[in-house]
Amino acid sequence: MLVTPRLTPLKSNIRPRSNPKSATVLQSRSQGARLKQLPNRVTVPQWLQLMKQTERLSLVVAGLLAGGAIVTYGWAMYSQQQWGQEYRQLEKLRRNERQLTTNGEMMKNNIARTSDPKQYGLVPRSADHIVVIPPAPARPPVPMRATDPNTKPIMPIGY
Amino acid sequence: MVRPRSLSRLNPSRSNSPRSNPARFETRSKLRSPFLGSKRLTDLPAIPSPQRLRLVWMILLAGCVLLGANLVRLQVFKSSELLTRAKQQQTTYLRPFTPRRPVIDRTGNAIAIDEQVYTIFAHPRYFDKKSTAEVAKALAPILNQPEADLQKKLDSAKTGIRLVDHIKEDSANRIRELYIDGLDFIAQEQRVYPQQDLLGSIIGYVDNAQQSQGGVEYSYKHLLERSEKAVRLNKTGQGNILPDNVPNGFIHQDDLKLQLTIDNRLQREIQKIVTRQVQSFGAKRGLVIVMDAQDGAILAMVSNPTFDPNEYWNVKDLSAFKNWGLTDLYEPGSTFKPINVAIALEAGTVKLDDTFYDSGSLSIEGWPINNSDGAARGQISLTDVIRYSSNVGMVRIVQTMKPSVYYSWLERIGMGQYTGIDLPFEAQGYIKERKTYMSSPIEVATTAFGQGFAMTPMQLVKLNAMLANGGKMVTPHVVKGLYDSQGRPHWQPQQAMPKQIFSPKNTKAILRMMEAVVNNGTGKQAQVAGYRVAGKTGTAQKATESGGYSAYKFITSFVGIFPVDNPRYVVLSVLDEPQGQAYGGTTAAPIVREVIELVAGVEQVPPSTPDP
Repeated sequence: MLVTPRLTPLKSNIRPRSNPKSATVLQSRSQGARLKQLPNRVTVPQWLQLMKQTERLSLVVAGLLAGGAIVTYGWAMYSQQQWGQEYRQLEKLRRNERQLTTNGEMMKNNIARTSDPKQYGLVPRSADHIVVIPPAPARPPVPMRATDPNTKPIMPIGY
Repeated sequence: MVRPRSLSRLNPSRSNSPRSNPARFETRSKLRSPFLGSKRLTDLPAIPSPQRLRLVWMILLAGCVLLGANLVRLQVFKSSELLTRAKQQQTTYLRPFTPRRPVIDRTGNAIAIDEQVYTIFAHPRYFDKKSTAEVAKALAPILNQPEADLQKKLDSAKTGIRLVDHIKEDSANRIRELYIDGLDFIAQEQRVYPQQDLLGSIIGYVDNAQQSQGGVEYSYKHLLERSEKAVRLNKTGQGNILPDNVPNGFIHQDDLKLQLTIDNRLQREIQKIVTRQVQSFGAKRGLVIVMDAQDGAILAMVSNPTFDPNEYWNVKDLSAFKNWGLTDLYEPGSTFKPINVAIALEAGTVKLDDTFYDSGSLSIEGWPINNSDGAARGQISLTDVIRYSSNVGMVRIVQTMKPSVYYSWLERIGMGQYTGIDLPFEAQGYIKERKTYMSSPIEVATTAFGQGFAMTPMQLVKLNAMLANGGKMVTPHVVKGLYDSQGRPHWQPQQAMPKQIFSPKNTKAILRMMEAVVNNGTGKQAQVAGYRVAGKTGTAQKATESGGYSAYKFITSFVGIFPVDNPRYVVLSVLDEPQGQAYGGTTAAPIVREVIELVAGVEQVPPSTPDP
């Protein structure tokens, strides 16, 4: 690897030793020879232009696709993991539900067995606690006249 | 190698020779490479040489070759072994915990429900730094076992010690939180019956091997068990299950429950009554069945003795497993008399206002037949035959029919057959052959007052249900159907259309006769204030194994139907071998009275009104 001197104004006092040729090049440039723009006669054919454009477009598309693929893959992985965790949670909740039902029933059973219901002011359900409301006798149907005899049918006038 | 040199040139402070600063040289010299003499590494000229290039290339190539070789080793030679190991780590054969469906009673209380329990295996070899004594000390309070016992167990082997069975989820979690290596938790299902022995004989139990034994658990196992297909699933390193390959409906578990027609409240209170009365009469066993005669639903079936299905292995008396209301035959005795009257009325050989001559005793083929009280009542009505439970009167009634006609009727009402109840191990009724009935009049005569044949108490309830519901033969059942958590039915048992056996006019008349039994006959102790109760007592001698009847072993029973004005409930109570002077009217009738009071309260039966 060769070191090329950096000719910034600040470091211009350092004389490059290793490449004396470059000094002459600089000299000739500093003399101010005007560079002529040569007419560019090469016309790019249309198909090449099209190819170039296609290349650029496909680069963008490829970038987008790659990004999309990464996002999709990440999302798929993440959602799978989420699913696994949710499934565990579901199993746990189901277990808890069953346990809750069992414990509730056991508690009910214990209360019914061990305690004296009267202690809690409870009495067994018996016929004495039924309030029977006898159904009222069926009311006689009120006859309804289909039409009031006082009103006369309106006759069509005929406009 | 080159760059530091150039930098040193640009930076004057760095370009100082070590010699110009002896102190600096002193410190630097310690870092000097032994191969380079007194020159610094950075001061060496980097001379590109083909040897060096070759060396570097060779090192790189060797690295590539080694990596390639390792790749070949892993991918070709060890591939199958690694694949199996990966599969082992990543896939799991998951048998999702599909509990048996719960069973609930008529009001929705859970009667049987599954619970996850754990069996813990200990492997002291893997206890790491903990000693067996430490582990035993930590586990003792949770397992509720003496520390010394646990340690003895743990010291018994290096691995595979079955430490404890069936511990509950919360205890297992407490042990897990101790983070002891070398403990293995095996999850299992266990059926729990929160009501203990309340419904033992109806529900049966599920044993350790998940096999249903007896009761609803057995007869409805096709509805209670859910398919348990093991599914192969992938899992992550943390043990989370991945959702690919999960079959359809894997997560979805239906919330169906099997609902019984049994009412817990009735069952519990009746159990108290039966236990008390069995003790007070010194009986061998007792039984009460309550049926809704409209559809044959059993509201309560209490048999004593019974067992706790949670601890089926602890049952000392094996007869407790029997639901003897279905499995044991007995001779119903006088409780069968109203059925005989119904047959005679239906056959048209007897009319409601007919009278019969009760001579107190008579002799058929040399066999004496007496009334139980020995009284001769002369010319009595049909009602009085039932009211006084006159054996002689009953023989006269049955004798009005030809034996062949009578036998056909007995077959028609299902004698000698099964009741068709949806519980397992039901016994078939017993009745002698047709030709025996044809040839010997004594068979017809004994059948007239309920002896000489056998049936289960459930069959007697079924027959009496016909008297209560206007003559229709319903099938007794304890299961209402499969219901979801919203109470919507998903399956209900298909009951055949009940056959009309007796006419409603005759059953209504017979109920009035049976009401007379309770009002001022043998069943006065079954009277309930506010309700009209029809009933019939029964006191039958027990048949002995040597043939004939025992003189002092009785089965007393009482069958009650209420309310008479709107008959719906049939209550049967049976006591096996009550001690002392025991009759159906004195032992079984008071039980029925208490039960009717209960049923009227729970079912909110409006008080009876007299006939118009």
